[in-house]
Amino acid sequence: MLLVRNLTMAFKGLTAISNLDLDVRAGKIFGLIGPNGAGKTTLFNLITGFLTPQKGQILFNGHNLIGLKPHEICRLGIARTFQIVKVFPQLSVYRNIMIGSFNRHKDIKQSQEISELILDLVHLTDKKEQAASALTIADRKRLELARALATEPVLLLLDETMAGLNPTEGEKMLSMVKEINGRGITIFMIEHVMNIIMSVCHHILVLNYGEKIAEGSPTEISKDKKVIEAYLGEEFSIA
Amino acid sequence: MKSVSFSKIIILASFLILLFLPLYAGSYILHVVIIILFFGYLGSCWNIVAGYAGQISLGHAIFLGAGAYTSTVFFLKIGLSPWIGMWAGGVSGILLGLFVGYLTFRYGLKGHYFILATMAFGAITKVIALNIDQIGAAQGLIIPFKASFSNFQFVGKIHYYYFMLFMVIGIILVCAVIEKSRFGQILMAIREDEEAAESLGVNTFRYKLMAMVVSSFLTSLVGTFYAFYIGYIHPDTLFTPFLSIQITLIPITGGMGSVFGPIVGSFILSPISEITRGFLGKFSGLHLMVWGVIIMFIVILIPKGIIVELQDYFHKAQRKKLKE
Amino acid sequence: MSSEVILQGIASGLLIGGVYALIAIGLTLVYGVLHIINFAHGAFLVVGMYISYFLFTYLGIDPYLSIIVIIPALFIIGALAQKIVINPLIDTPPHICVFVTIGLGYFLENFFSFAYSPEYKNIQVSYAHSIISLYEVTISVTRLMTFGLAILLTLFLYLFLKKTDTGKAIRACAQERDAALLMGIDTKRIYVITYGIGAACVGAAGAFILPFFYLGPYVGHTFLLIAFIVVVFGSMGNFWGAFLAGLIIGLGEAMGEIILPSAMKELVSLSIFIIVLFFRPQGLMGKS
Repeated sequence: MLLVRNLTMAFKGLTAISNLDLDVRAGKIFGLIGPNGAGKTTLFNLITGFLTPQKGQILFNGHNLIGLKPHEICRLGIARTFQIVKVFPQLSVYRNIMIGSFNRHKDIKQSQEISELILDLVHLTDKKEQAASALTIADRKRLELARALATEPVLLLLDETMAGLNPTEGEKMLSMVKEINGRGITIFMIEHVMNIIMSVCHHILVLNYGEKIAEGSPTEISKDKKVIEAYLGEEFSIA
Repeated sequence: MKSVSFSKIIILASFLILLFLPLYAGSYILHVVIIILFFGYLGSCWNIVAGYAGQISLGHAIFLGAGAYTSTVFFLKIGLSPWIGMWAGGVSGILLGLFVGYLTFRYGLKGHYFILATMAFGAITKVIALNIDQIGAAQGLIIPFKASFSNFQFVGKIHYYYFMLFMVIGIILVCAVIEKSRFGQILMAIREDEEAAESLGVNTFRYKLMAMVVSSFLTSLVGTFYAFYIGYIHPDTLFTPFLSIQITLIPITGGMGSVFGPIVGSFILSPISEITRGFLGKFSGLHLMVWGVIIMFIVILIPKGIIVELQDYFHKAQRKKLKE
Repeated sequence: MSSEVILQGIASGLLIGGVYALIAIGLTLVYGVLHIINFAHGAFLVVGMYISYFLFTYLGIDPYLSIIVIIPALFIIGALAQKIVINPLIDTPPHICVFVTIGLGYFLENFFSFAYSPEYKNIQVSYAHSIISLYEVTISVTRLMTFGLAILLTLFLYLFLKKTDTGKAIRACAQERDAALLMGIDTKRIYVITYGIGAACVGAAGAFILPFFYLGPYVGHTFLLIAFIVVVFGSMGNFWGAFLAGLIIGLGEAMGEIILPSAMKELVSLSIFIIVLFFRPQGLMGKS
């Protein structure tokens, strides 16, 4: 579904991503891990059109994504969440989600129906009139997820959705992600916490200093020497 | 539910009062209310691009000026009735709005840079207008008074009053429609977080441009009214930052991003402006000093504008009640 | 177009450019630290000019010497303004501060119009007509002194920022406010000091131009616009950028005056403004 070849991104002197290849298979949950600063969010920004790479290709179901604007990429079926949650603070939960649904629907009535469905899916119906700024972090993350879902994507990019959540919230979020995947939406998630990735991803890629250092199934990754080395000295969080 | 019908009563009452005002108000009062309505209208227009879409323009006077000059020049040179000239002015507003909006949004100017760019356009327009002889240059243009409907010139204030009242009702309806529409919802999303909106499939460039053009068009429409009501237009009054700032203070006082905010704001601020100028104007600069203090007070005490602050207050009170 | 005219243009352009640089540095400093566009900046220039005018007219103090009074006076006025009016609004959306400083500007610049007189005034120092001739170029002494003192003040400010503890704290706040907070720097106090410095700079500039520029309540408007142009051109928040840009704009204006009809000379700086805003908003010193 998503093909990345030879991707290189450099910012004046600093190479954030270098010669990266990856394949995200349709219907699966693909995980990206790596220490802080490894280039994970940069990769998401490249895929979603917020950055343009110096070299390389990004193909989505045959479409070339490089040079497209973020809204065009969303139209093609990729939605994302952000590492630091970007909800629309003064708008209500309901209206936040409606904006997402406008991606596919011009008619307000239809958008409203979709939004109600999604509110239900993420269990935010009882808070639907609250301003997004009044929500807890966990709820905001769910809102952002819901909003991205409302765009009816085929590929969902999740940037550290679990960060800042306590174990209960984290579990709820995780099961929601699995449920979404169960409905056929491909998931590409960035995570910092090892065991979350292990428990849910079908395929994992490990990034360090912008380069791929390992790739494979969770079992393979957990045994990879380079991966363990990269994480040594890092705050190895076993939540 | 209580606060909703209360405000509806107030709106209806105000409308009725305004509708029948000329029956019992003298010429001066009518003039003051005309000014209030005029700035309330302008503030609402600005609100579309600034309150809803979040693009703070400090050069909006150029659209008013474009509308004024276009219809005035057509009237003076070829005798075109201002009723038609008004629409020519509207076209000039659209073109100017497209120009400014395209350049600023195409190059992604945001925040401070956007504010400065709009001011720069304002300054350039003023310099250009002061130097084009065909439109009067530094002398400005005088519109000779000859009362007739087709000339958009009337004896007394009543006709001007109802025109402005009509325009205000119109803009209120327009804003109400925008607020509820998909277009308005998207604008507000852009205001809240442009990147997030973009990532959700919103072509932020196109929507910001549309907001700017709608705003500039509606603003330029009353340029004609201004020209023919005052009878004299000049770059030093029409293309100044002072006028642009005046326009922006109205929604800021009353409530940005709300339908009635700018109107309410004008009813509060415009009389204060007129009174300070009327009473203190003779003490060179005093009224502007007071004006400066008033601006500071408003921005510090009610940054979101009266209507929005009141709404917030009521929501908080409601939530407190629910908790008890 | 003789080389004489061009050289003369370059000279006068550079000389006024020094003043633009000083004015802009005050503005860019405030932006770099507080991240607000200070619309009252021009008003402080006017305040400085008026104080200098009074000192000259009633006490016979030379404007260039008057900065001994003006710098501390403007610093205090600026610091007070910041403390009372602006500091409470530091974390609000940017346009809020814009309007507060606009209101502050209206207040300050009309103060003297009301308290003293709205009429335009002029002063004449004893050496007002003295000139120096260098090769084919004639330079008036006042303009040269203005330029020299502006440069001196700029250097002084630079050393202050570089060497003193307060200066370093200011630079820390400019670079990374949260880190500065964590390091125990009282950011609100730094804001007050910085704003005061900004006011003092532009107030001194006001005193410097008094010998050859007319005084009036709204003189600040022209200089404010130029200051914006210089600051953006030189990269917002960049000290030496503002300095360089000030000189360049001064030159550009002088050249414009030679080539264009006089009424259009403002178009030169305005055009630079537009071009920079659209094609290189990060300015001279910024990264792409």
